[in-house]
Amino acid sequence: MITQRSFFPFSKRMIVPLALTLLVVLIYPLVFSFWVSLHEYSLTALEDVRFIGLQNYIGLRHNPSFWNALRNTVVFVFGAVFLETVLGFGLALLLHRPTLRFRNFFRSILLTPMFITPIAVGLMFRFLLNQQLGVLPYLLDQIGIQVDWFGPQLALFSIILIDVWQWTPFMLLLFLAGLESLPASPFEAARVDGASWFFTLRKVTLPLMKPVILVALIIRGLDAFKVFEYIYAITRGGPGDSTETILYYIYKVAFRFFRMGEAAAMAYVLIALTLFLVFILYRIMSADEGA
Amino acid sequence: MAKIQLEHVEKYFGDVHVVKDLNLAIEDGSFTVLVGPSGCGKTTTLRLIAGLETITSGRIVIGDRDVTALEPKDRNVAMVFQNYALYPHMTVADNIAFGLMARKTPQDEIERRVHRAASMLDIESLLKRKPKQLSGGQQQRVAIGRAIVRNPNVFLFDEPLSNLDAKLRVEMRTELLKLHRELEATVVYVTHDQEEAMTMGDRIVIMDGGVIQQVGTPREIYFHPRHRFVAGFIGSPAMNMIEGRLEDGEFISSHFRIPLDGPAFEGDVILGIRPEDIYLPGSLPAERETPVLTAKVEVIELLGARAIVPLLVNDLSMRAVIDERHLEQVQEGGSMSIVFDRNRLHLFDAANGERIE
Amino acid sequence: MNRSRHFRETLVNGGLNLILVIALIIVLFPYFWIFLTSLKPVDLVARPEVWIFSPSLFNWRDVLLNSDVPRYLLNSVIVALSTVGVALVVAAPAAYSFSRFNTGGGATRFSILAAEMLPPAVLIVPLFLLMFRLALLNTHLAIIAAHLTFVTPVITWFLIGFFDEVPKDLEEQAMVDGYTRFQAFYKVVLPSVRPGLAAAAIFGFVLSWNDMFYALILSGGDSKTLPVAIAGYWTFRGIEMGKMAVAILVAIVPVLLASFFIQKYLVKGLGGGAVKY
Repeated sequence: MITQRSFFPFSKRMIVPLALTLLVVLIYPLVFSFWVSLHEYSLTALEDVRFIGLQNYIGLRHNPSFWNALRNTVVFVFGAVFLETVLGFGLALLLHRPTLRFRNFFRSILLTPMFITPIAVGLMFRFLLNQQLGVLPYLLDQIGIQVDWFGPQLALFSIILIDVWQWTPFMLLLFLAGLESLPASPFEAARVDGASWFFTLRKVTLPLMKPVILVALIIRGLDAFKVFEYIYAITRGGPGDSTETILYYIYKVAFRFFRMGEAAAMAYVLIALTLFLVFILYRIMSADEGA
Repeated sequence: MAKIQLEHVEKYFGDVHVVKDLNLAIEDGSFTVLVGPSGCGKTTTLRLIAGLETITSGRIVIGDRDVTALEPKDRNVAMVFQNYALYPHMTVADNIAFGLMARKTPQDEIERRVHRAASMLDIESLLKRKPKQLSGGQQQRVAIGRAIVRNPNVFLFDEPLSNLDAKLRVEMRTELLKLHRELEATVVYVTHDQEEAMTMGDRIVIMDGGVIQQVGTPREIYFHPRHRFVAGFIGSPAMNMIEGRLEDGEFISSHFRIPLDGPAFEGDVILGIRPEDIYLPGSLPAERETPVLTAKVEVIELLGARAIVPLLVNDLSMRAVIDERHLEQVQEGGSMSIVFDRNRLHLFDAANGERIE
Repeated sequence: MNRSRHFRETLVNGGLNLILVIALIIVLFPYFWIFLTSLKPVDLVARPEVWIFSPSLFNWRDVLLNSDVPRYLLNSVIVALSTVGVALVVAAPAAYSFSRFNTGGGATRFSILAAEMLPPAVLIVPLFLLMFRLALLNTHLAIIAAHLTFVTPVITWFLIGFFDEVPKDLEEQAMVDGYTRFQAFYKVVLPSVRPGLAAAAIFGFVLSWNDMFYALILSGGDSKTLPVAIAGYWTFRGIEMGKMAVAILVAIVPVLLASFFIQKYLVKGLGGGAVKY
């Protein structure tokens, strides 16, 4: 059979299934969600859905819970991602040493936390850190340290540490792969040229790793915005609202208070925020490539 | 500037013995080329001198210092890598200055030396560019600039020209030699290209299987290869090797016999004849001609002034290089008479490959 | 050798290795403790000072034989397998098209990444309302649809990285030999990225398996997935802790085993051809 080169080329035909799937499960909900965000749409009063324009958005400006959740989330994201980047890079450097034995063993084990369902991680640490039942408070108590991990002061910080436990491996994975794929000779040249370890790190390793670091920051940063399970498993937003993050708050508004319109509006604000961040990082990246 | 001595140097990678009891003295100010097939240990030897690999046993002396246990940075050597090893995020100037910055040289001193190096290499106009914006040849110059700016005792080159195209490679050879004369530095240069070795080195070290096969000037290596391997490796097209035996001063193979005078050796040998030492009868003084043989001409590969002519001598495949002026007497598919130059015959012991005088 | 230098190097190296060992302990201790707890008799579960005891399989037996956990496990398997199956079929041709023809330009890869990163909060409200209207709440289908929203982009992104490495010659040879474009893709290109497909499938499976957010809202009763069921141990009554430990282990062990197989492919997949190292 002779196939004519058609107006609808092969390259486009190949993406039809994906396009259709995403249209149904992604694009349609997105549009619908936006429509909902413009309405007073309560699950308890479905017969009374009213168009209210941007009221749901405007209302957010004076919603202290929303701002609190946003603030908590931003603190969480920056704290967690910062620690994960530093620790991940440090561990990657440690694993990358040529003298290290059992490298594969270390790497395989150190990477495991990123594969576990976050709800299990949350419950695990809730159990481990529990004042009465937990083994860590018990051990710390033996050496005279008493910490209320999920008290009002520390709860958010503890959640950050749990995130660090689970997601530092992700940074480690990317950084280690990045280090391994760097050519050897610039580092050998630096050795012959008499550069110290720190000088090489600052002048050679970090600049060469910049693209990898940026990608890692984008992926992990955006992912951290979605933190939900640890909160759900451990604090449910408390004590008070000190650990209420944006996704948890949206969940509460939508499925505890059934105010769908308001929840959808908040989700759109979140989307705008994350897209803005992606856009900035993307620009930084492409600007870097152009140089 | 300094001489380099390698004494009983051994190197293992795990169980693999890559450098075996290597002894070598490299003279101050010489241009020494390490050459050999891939895997012969030449690059490892260079990296041992640089200190990028630690030797398993033995001693390395640069100048008057035993550097065996020293880090690369304390050996005062500079190295130019095959892929140039330029830092992509730095300008040419910063790349050249890197070694000086690492040693905390004062800023004005750095600038002075970078500019001097750049002007020697004719790359002053490129100083503000990034490596990506340079051609291969320009990157090569920057890599060399990075080496000379440090005024090292020793320059180490690891196949520096192998990534350049053929024309540029020939130009850079000349330039490297000029630079060597200007700097009066000791250079150790690794290549797998025997032609590059012959044209550049004032001394050539031929390695195979982690062992030095011969050290000598290009002339010595070419005209008096001390081992069958050296004879086969140097020269293009490669030397013809004919298996046979020596009996009563006569070389006897299943294809032909040649009476020789001289060697008292008896037994299995290999006779080596370079293609360019095969002539038409009458073109040599009579006493240098071997008895005339008849050969069948397979094809003629014209190179210009010369031609490579694959021959069959009683079923034995050989190659000859024939001057273009004699080609009219030769026809593809026809036959021709040949003689060998008696003074240029090489005999090797078939048992161990060593030269028989 | 220079003695003091050698000594100092050994010391520094030992210190650095020690840091790695500490990291290893920090990673392993929670697993160890949960495992220990799962073997504790009921009366010891709430006592962190007890490390040595005669192990009991009571919790394991109770969870695996007398609870609904096996059913939830099956739900998770069904949902994850279906999600990955659909995602692979729609993602593979598209990823190939993006990789080979750069369909849609650089913006495509960027939008795929963006879709992958979309906060689930945006989609959960409409998906919930949609499933509610279609009377599909508390069915596998609802969860599968929700999981497709992130598994499909991830797998697409993942496969782009692998297709990028297939030499163009391979399919051109096939086409010269008489295959159509699609046959060349299906019979030559796809088999050559088999490890990538496997890694992407496993990774997608893990993502679906691990999700709790969508499953929590869209499923209930018998259709719960394992993570949602685990979340149900939230009450923290002392007697439940041992069972919680078992349920957690049931949820994480398969994934940990899978992780060892896909680790080496993960980087190429996550990079999605965006980072040329």
